[in-house]
Amino acid sequence: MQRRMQNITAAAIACALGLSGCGGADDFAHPANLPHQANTTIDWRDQVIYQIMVDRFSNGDPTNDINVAPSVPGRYHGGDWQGVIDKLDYLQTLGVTALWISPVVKNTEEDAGFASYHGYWTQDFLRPNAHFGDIAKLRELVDKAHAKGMLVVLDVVTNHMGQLFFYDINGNGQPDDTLFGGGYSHSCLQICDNPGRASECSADEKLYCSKGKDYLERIIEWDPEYDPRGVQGWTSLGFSGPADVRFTDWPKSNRTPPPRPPSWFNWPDDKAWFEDPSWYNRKGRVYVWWHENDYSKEFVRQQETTGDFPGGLKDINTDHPDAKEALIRSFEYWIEVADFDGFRIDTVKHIDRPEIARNVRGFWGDFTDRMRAKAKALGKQNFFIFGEGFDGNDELIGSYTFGGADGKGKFGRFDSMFYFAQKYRGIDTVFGAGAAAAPTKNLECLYNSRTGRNPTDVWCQGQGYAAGPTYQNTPHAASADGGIGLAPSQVMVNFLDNHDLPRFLFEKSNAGVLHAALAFLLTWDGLPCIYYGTEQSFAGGVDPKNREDMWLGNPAQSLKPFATDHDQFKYTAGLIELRKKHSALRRGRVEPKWSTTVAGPRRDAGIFAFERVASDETALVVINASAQPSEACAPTNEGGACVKTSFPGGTVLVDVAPGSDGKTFTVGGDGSVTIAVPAFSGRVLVKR
Amino acid sequence: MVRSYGRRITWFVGTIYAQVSTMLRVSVSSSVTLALGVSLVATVAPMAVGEAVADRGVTVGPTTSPALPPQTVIVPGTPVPATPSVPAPTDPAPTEPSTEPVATPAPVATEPTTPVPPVTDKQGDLAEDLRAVDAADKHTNLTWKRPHEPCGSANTAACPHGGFRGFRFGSYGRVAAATDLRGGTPESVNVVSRGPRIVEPSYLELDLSYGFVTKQHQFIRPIITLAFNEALFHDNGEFKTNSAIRNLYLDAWGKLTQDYNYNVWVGSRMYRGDDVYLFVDWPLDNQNTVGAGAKLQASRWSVASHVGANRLLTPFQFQQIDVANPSQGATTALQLNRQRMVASLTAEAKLLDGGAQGWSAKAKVHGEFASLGAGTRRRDDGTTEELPSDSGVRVGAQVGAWLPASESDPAAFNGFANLFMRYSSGLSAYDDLATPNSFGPDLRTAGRASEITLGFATAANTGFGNAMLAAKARRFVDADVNGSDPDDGWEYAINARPLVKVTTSLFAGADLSYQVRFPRGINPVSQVASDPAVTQIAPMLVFAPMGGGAFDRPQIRLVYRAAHLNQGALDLYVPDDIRHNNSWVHYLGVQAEWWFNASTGSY
Repeated sequence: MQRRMQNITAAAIACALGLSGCGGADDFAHPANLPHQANTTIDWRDQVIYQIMVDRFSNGDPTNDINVAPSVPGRYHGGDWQGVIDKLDYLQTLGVTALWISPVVKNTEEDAGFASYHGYWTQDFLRPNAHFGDIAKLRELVDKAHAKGMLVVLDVVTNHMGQLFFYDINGNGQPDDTLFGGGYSHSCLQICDNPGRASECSADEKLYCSKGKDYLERIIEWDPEYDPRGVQGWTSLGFSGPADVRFTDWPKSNRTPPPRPPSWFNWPDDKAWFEDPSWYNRKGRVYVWWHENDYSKEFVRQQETTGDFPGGLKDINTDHPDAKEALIRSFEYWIEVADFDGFRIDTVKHIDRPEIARNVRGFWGDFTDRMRAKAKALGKQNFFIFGEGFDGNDELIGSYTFGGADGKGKFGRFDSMFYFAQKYRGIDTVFGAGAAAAPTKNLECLYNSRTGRNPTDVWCQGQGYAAGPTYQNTPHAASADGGIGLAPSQVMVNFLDNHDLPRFLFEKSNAGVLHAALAFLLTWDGLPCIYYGTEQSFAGGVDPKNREDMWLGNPAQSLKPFATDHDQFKYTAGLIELRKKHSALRRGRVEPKWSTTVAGPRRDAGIFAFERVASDETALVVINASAQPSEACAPTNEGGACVKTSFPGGTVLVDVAPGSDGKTFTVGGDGSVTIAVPAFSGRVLVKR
Repeated sequence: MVRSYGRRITWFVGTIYAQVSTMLRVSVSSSVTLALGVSLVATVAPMAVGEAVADRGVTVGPTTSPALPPQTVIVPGTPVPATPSVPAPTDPAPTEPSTEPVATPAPVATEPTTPVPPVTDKQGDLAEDLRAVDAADKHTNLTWKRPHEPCGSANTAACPHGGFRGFRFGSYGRVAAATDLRGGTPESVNVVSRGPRIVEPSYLELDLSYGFVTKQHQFIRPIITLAFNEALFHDNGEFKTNSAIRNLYLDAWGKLTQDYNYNVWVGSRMYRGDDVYLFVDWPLDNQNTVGAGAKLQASRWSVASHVGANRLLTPFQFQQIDVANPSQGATTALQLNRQRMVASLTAEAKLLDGGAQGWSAKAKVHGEFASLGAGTRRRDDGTTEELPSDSGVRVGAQVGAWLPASESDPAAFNGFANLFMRYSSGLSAYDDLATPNSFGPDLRTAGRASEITLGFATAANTGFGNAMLAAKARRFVDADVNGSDPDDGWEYAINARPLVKVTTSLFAGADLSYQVRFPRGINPVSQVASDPAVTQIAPMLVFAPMGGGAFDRPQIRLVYRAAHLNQGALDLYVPDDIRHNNSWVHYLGVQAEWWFNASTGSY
């Protein structure tokens, strides 16, 4: 002890005398120089993702509470990376194994009274959002999560920036909310409605112009409607050519041109950066989403891929080689500095057209492969990249998982996608929809589409499900090459809700339905993704009400903040634990065993049964998504046959689902078994 | 007259004032006695990063305090400070400097007095009383014990009625005319919390007091100090000043018994000990307070204590809100009103008494306790935020030694040295006139923030010239939870100013300094870890007509300063700042600095 004190004293004296740096740059390891977690033994099928909106999760450092307004849903509330660190034990108790954190880069501060608490309004790709901490804190979060056995996935936006500039349509140098005579786009007035030039317009354009008379009445210079020929200048005298792009210079709200990168980034001085208007498509806001059935898919996709994201979020021209390179290098930097284990990428379908040109490398072909290569260079394996395609079109979204080949060789794309098709056609329609509930066969059809089994399923084809496979069924890269060694079709990211959708309980308002859906989520193949607060029975409506403060608890349910002593938490944690315990539920192949093609009350209403078959065990899962007790058997008038399993006759199956009655079922000689499932619940049956 | 004044200064200044304090507050009051006792160096004010900024013209650390106006930053730090939730962004911070702008040694020039017989109980005329008291001081070793004595108790032309009674005017001031040789106005480039002062803004203090002497030999006077910052109409064209009342208190002292003196004061004042002149720093005790204090002095020791408070007009301590008036319309309601209370206790002992010709030495210990009550602040969105109570503690010690100037041989060596050590925690680790710039998760600083300061100052005068040397080391850890934090870390500075006599009143020399910070985190501007450092070389010619001591004033100086900023220091400027690329910064100018009769803040 005495010796220790002597050492401390000596060190203090040395510091005091200035004989050493005592914590200066020489002693301080920059996060980018810290070792990276190799993830050599990771199998992403084993992971349970937990989606965190950082601003709403936990406020660990009040010092960074800049411009907070906790009572306003659309403003910053104070959550930060320290808060996530503080709650790692809670997350560990819940059992999740991978954290998806909201974007980390510096954002434009606010727009129209709304703040960028969500992180999707990039202003500077290379700086952290000061509301959440600095890069050292971010790295600390990742390191501490790693220490607890959790992976960390970063939410990435490459499609657009925040509202950094306006189109100076009338040339007065200021952003105008309304323009005299504006609204009707240049292409319409000058070309499509001009008898002399109408032939230059497609039928879609003409329709757009025609309908535009209804909805293109008002132009906001921040966010003018899409014009296929680019946003044009306009005054009462007519059009004046492409509108000037004017970046705002409002530093207090971070609405300034993106600054050039710092010297350590080694960006060539003679190359532009994101302050260059040519790095943006400048065509105005995507509008046809709300009328997409009126137009050809081509017209819709043109808008989606080159138009600004609604809200004035300026669409980056990702085909511009310098812009592409800048984006790639920026996110390589984030892997290096923060040691992320994967990316969730926003608005994927707004870049590239793989659905029509799989072998055009485009942006994603380069971006995803470069990220894998960067991970490999850092000694990391199994770098997981999944994309958000906010669309129920399975084929469209799935196309982003297919690799291709061009003159430079093969290239990959996404390892997985956020499974919106399943959300829209399965989760929303099958679970808790009451009398209008869709047959559970829809869940099977989705699986069939994904894996290419629909050609043999007439019912699915009849419902419009693609023959498939809609998702690539081979890996993009081996684990050792920075890939995950798994096919996209094996690792779809399944979810019940997320930050862009109303909470599951907002739409279903029945905890039992949530239990049934969770049982499906955590036993189905792919990666379950739980939106923060699901385990606390949050029930907020559409954005931003679905982004509740975790630290306030759930007063409507009398739940204290981060409470772990209630049924919803225990059930969720129990399912996660069950998944961890049974490899079949994580890695086993899926064998659908029972689904209904008929809606409405009947013996097997809401029943979806499937086996997860692994080399060491098989689990039989029977979900009842309906409000009635059901059995995995046909009605008597349809023969009464029950689910036929792969288990040998005489096998006794026991329900191991959390909170179950522990009931056992004995498999008959032909493998069939009668399994009754209470309303809104699921049984997970394994050999006793 | 001038000559002896100068001699006196050599010692007073050198010893006392120099040491003592400096600047503005310092003052003067000093009688030799006092001066002697005081010691010399000064102490560093506890200074959180934010405070550094607050101290206008002095320095600036790498981070800025959200509460301070940007123009106070000399070396700008991180642009967007993490604004704690506590201070509401919409509530403007006070524009006045939160700490005293600059230090000024304020020597007191008095003629040597002639010893007189010890004081008796006999009451006579005031002049006689004063002479008697003064004599008593001299002969009973009380010279060391009279605080705030105006200009000695001598009854001279310069100090009629012993220099105490009646109206007295004093001042500390400095003003400069200079160029940065790039066509702009120069500025200091410090990267530590309180760094070298070779380049500093103009500043003025005006001291007013009126002394009364009672028949019972009690001495009472109100002291008023008006301070003005660098805003000069002829420089900025704005016909206005930024002024503050730095002192407004009633000071009384006298003898309790034959062996003990007392001093009490009530009011608002700078209350501080010895400084480090070269850094404008009080490394042990430096309070800006509204309260009351008392001091008991014996021949070889003294004990002083005070209790004071402040309530800053920041949303951390004070908030008014508009509410509905039940009868009609709106009215203003008080939402937050919490005082920061500070109590201090200081003891000082003379370890060695060399009298007027030998080395003397002293030791001093100082402690403070600060507390802040709980309150509730209202945010812009209408929600409220509970601000918990908080507290802070500071303890420190100082040892000093000094050798007075010889009255018989003005060229003989004299000088002083002071060493300071201080530890502060919680609220006390931050500037007492600013909102802490960081908090723990519970919005408290107690148990989280800390500061360690080590300071050293010395000065020597000889017939060949004079020299000052100062060094400091400071470690600051803020209250937030971040282990990696650019606000945390060590900083060091060393500064020497040797001057060689050229003629009787003309000196040549240089101010040489080096300062460096070792932040324990990444620079949020550059995103890299770096150690900002500044090296300054400033040759100068000094005209000192009132004496050749290091602390003789007035001085007129012709100064050229070249400062080199390493990349870490440059990166404290945002890239858009035109200073970001100037690794060499120049200064060429003339400076004038004076002090006389300034009221001291020392105790």
